[in-house]
Amino acid sequence: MFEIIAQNIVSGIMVGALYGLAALGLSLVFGVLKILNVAHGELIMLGGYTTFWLFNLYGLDPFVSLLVVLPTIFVVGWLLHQGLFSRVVQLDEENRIKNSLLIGFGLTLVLQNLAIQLWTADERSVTPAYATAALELGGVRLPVIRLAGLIIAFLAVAGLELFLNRSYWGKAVRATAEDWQTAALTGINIKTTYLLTFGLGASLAGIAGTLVTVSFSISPFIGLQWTLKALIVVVLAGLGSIGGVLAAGILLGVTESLSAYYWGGEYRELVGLIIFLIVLSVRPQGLFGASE
Amino acid sequence: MLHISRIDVAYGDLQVLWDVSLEVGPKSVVAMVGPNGAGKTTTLRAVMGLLRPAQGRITFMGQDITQTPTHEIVNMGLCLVPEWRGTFSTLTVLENLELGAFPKAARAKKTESMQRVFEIFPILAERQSQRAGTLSGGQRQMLAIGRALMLQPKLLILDEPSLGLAPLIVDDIFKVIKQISTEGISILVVEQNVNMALEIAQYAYVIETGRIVQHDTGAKLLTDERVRSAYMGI
Repeated sequence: MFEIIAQNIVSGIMVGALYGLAALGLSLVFGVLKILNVAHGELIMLGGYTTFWLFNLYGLDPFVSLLVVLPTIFVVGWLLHQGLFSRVVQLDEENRIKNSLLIGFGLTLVLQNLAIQLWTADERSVTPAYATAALELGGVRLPVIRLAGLIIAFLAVAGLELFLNRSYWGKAVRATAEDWQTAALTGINIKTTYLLTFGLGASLAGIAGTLVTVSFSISPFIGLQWTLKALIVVVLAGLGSIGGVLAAGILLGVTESLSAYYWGGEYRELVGLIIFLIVLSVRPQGLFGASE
Repeated sequence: MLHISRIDVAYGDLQVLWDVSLEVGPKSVVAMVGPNGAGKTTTLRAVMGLLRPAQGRITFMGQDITQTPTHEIVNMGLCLVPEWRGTFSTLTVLENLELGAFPKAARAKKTESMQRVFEIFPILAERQSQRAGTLSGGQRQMLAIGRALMLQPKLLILDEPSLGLAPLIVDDIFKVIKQISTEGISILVVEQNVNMALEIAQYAYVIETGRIVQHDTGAKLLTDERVRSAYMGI
């Protein structure tokens, strides 16, 4: 009994870390550029397919493929921002959000169909030799792949924190998030900061995509479900706390996992949405967001 | 140094500046005074490239900056401390100052500039690890000026430095402005506190409803009938 609950909690943590990672890029872009990229899930998908391709064509280990995924999806994000989203960031806040939603939805369709052309509509997954390997810890099973995913999620959060808090450009990103006009008056090139942030957000989605591909499977249609999951986590966490995003993701993962155990799998999604609604009405700044 | 020549500026269809010209020479203190809503801040926004004039030209050190991006203008040594103070409240005092030295040229002289800023504002050295959002209004203004000094500007523009501050603090801030100007940095100060501004300015412009209506030396405007009755209640 105890072991089953422990197993559920541990599985929840591992899935939740992936939720957090999926939300990290969305939160970063939303916090800095004040735009909502609903095609974030499609960037996750592209990251996943990059790993799939590298594994299938060249036999590259999925975790090693991250070294390719990261810069590739960064460039994809860079181009998407340069070509599309940069046109809306100069607008006032309301039109910025609205127009970014339109661009995002359009992009969703384009990227989905592109993926169907390139990889067909079949579900794909990547299964390295250690796909089923697992550690046993006091009766709790820890699949190696999920465990590695958990570590990578933590590394990504730590890396992002380090970048934002220690590097010049990271501070520029934080400054721009707070007040772009003052940032420009400080001599910061706002356009470059936006490009960098969007590229970073995209590469974080790419990393999440790799993990999704090895932990679950991908198809051209997974984007929306991951965007929604990421959105729930962003609202749960609130803006301004990188670690909070991971924590909120894990919270969601554990809650889902436990409710699926107690009430059955069909309640998995529902409980997440209920928490989402409660947080939204009781604590709209999110669990870890700074109150104004 | 800074030449604003005959600019018109509009927000959408609403024109707010007509034919505004202004000049700041090297090593000088120039003031722009006028009532709320006269177009003072708008003029500065146009200078810094946050707004584009519909007509006219702005040059700095002989270079046309009418269409130059804000950060490049800043890199040229033209720096604005905005009315809204321009500090990052979620960043610490130290981080704010470090960011002030963001352009490459300023970055090389970071330590030296920071020492200078701490000499002028010792309170900032004491509070360096505190978040800027927790500072008092006066301290935040000092941080904003300190941050601007990190850029080693050639011309420093101050928008309403006295706004919302207690009279004693205002005195301190103006003392610092004087001190900075003696070090060879030109100053353009925009103020509703007309008396204070005219006292330190060698030359001053009076702006009303989007037009420059008077300009003369600070001393002359201080004794000018019209200025005294309109702005000093005398």
